[in-house]
Amino acid sequence: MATPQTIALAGNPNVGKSTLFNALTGERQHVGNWPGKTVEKMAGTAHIGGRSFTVIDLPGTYSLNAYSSEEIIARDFITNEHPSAIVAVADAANLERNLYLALQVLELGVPVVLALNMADTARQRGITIDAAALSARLNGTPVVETVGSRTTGLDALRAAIVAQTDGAPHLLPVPVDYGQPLEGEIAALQAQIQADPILSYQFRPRWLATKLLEHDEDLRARLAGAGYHALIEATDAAMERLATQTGEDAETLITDRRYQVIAGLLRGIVTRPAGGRETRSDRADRIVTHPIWGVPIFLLLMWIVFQFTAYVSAPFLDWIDALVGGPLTRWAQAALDAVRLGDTWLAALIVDGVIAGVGGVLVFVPVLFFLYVAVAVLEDSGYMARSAFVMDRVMRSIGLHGKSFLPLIVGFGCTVPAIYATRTLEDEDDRKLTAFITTFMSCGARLPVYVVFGAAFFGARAGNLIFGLYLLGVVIALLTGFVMKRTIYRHKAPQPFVLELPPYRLPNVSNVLRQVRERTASFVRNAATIILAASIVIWFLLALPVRGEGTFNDVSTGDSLFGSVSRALAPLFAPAGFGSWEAAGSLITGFVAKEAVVSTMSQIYVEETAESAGDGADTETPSFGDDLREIARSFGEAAILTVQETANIVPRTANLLPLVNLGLGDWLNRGEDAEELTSLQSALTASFARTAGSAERGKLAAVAFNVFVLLYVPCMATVAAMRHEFGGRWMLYQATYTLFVAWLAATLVFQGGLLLGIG
Amino acid sequence: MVAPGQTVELIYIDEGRRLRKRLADLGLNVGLTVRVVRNSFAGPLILAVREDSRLAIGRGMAHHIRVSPCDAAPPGEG
Repeated sequence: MATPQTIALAGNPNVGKSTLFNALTGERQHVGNWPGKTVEKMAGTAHIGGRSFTVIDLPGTYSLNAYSSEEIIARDFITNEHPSAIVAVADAANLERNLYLALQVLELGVPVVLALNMADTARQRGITIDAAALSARLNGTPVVETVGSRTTGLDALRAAIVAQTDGAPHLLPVPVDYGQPLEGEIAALQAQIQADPILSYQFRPRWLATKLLEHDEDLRARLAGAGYHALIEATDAAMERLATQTGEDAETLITDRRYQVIAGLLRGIVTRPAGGRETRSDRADRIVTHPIWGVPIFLLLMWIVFQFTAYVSAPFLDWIDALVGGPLTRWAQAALDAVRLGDTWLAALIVDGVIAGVGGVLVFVPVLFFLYVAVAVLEDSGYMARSAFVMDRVMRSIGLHGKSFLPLIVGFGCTVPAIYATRTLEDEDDRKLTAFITTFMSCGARLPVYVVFGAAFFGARAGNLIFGLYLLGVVIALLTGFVMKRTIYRHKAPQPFVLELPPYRLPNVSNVLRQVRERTASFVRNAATIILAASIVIWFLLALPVRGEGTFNDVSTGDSLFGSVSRALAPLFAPAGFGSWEAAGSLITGFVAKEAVVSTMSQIYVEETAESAGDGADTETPSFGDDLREIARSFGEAAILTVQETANIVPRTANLLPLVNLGLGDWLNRGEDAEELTSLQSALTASFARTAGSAERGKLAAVAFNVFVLLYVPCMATVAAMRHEFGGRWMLYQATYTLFVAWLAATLVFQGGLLLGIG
Repeated sequence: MVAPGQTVELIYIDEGRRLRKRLADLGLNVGLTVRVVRNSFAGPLILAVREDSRLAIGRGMAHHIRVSPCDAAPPGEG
């Protein structure tokens, strides 16, 4: 089979490019990263008329200037990889602005298909476009009207792609006439570029000449690095001449001219109803972006996102937890018994290390799933941009950009994608600062710790602890930002805020699900290795005896290597009230991954209880069939409870108002507080009370412990991400700072509580 | 201050080269007429640019954009 030809999709953000990409490639997709970048690279395969194409979804950009890394990626791909054709995707309702990018793609001299996407919305607004006439004005470049979400126009698009890639030399370059005096200068530079064989092979000479006159910093730096100083000097001289001749700088001349060309192209081709009409989105924005009403709407939506991660995800979290801890563990043990390994240390490693580790990753899937559904819906509906708008005032008061809010929200799910989400910020210092403070936003992996402690120490009022911790994280993040802006970044001018507000639309279900699937899978892939490795390392630390009577794999935790390390660290935490080696040990594993805190605590706190109860409690093992039936039954139950909790968002939200007290749905008659204290929870209350001195002090120490968990280094994956994005030194600052803040805050909570007479 | 609903022409953008280019990429260049959709007492503004595109720009930046009203009203700053 011949190597598939490559085609790429280019377009502005929010023009339905991903939907079109999905429609073209179906399920045959894979996600990766652009080489050396963390910007997501989507690639897929499309089969059209017996030929197969590799389809690349370029990052959404407004132009091919070198303003952001996305733009450099898109442009390098086109100039270096020589795709057979580019599909320039444009929003049909917003053609003038969208053609600005499309025109730059055409200037690159590659075969182009222009897709006028979301043609239905344009028609609804009374906009008509004469696609055939536009195609004629673009020298026969195919122009196709499409509706990606309904696969309308897809056949025409496929046919156009085939026509543009059949190898026939029917491409007529689309001339953008820049007029005099620009054309004269472009021609002179072009001649100089053409005289150089390497340069004229690498770039289309006319394109490079134009870009240089636009003062493209990326290309200038690259040419300077390759020793083309004469060319840069000639460019500077040309720009100088243009400025004195016209009184305008060259890039303004070029930009203006491009928009003039576009206006000319569209004259008589696009008709729209006269006057600036107020669209449905404008009407919605009257309320949603209102300087007063916008804020409660924003907070309400964030509260709902929070509900999804905290309550709606819980039934399936429990289900997976029970599945791994019960049947899976039993089956593994049975299989090991069958091969006569049941009593060896290998069996212990597999059951207590590997399977427990896998469970630690999997319980997290429902939490992230629901978080990502919520985030994807916010993004796809167009609200995410509004949230940056609404929050700009607040964020600016602490010296941050309105766009910084987005990574901070994502940080509630997982800090790793939050760090990568800072890429939407153009300024490097803004990015660093935002990434620095996102780690204080309480990520989903910290939640299980709060949940366990909340249930153990506060019972029905666990929600208060959880919400308080989330709030504290936000406050510390904002304070840190505030202080950093006024210290190390005080010389910086505030970054400008420019943001497109896409029209509101109903989220596309397949788009949302695809994003959710990718992001959740990427978490599993990234976290699995780290958490699994951590589980195994911790298991070995726990199995290695360093004192007492124990032997390998038969040693009490306190006598193991792990116990010694934890014991050495424990005094550090005494001022915060939890100076026990068990607490210190849990925090050590939390450094590797917060997901591991609860599982470590189960391992070390429950040991005593489990051993005493273990022998006598050996009840009948359920049969394989019983297990399967139980898994299916509890799955159904979890599904019902998930729906119930989704419905319960309404009363829970209404109950925030004073004097409202709606009952929560309880469809399976479980009762909210019917849950018994698990063995871990009772072990925790006992241990914390013992370390702190009394039950009340134990509660205080538990709060301090959770504050520490909230604030210290999120996990190894985050550290790796920080290093990847900002380098080793920044990573070290971050780790040191978070540890210090966590210790200080935990100590303040405990000592402050004592001063207030608690305990 | 330009009231919401008013249409104005951009006369001059008093910003650095990079930002001016960025604004142009997003469709905002000198000589263009835009309609102000939202201009509240604080926070960013919303502009209707090239008919159907909505751009939010920070208040600080808006102060650096000189405009002249297309309706009959005295010139002012955005």
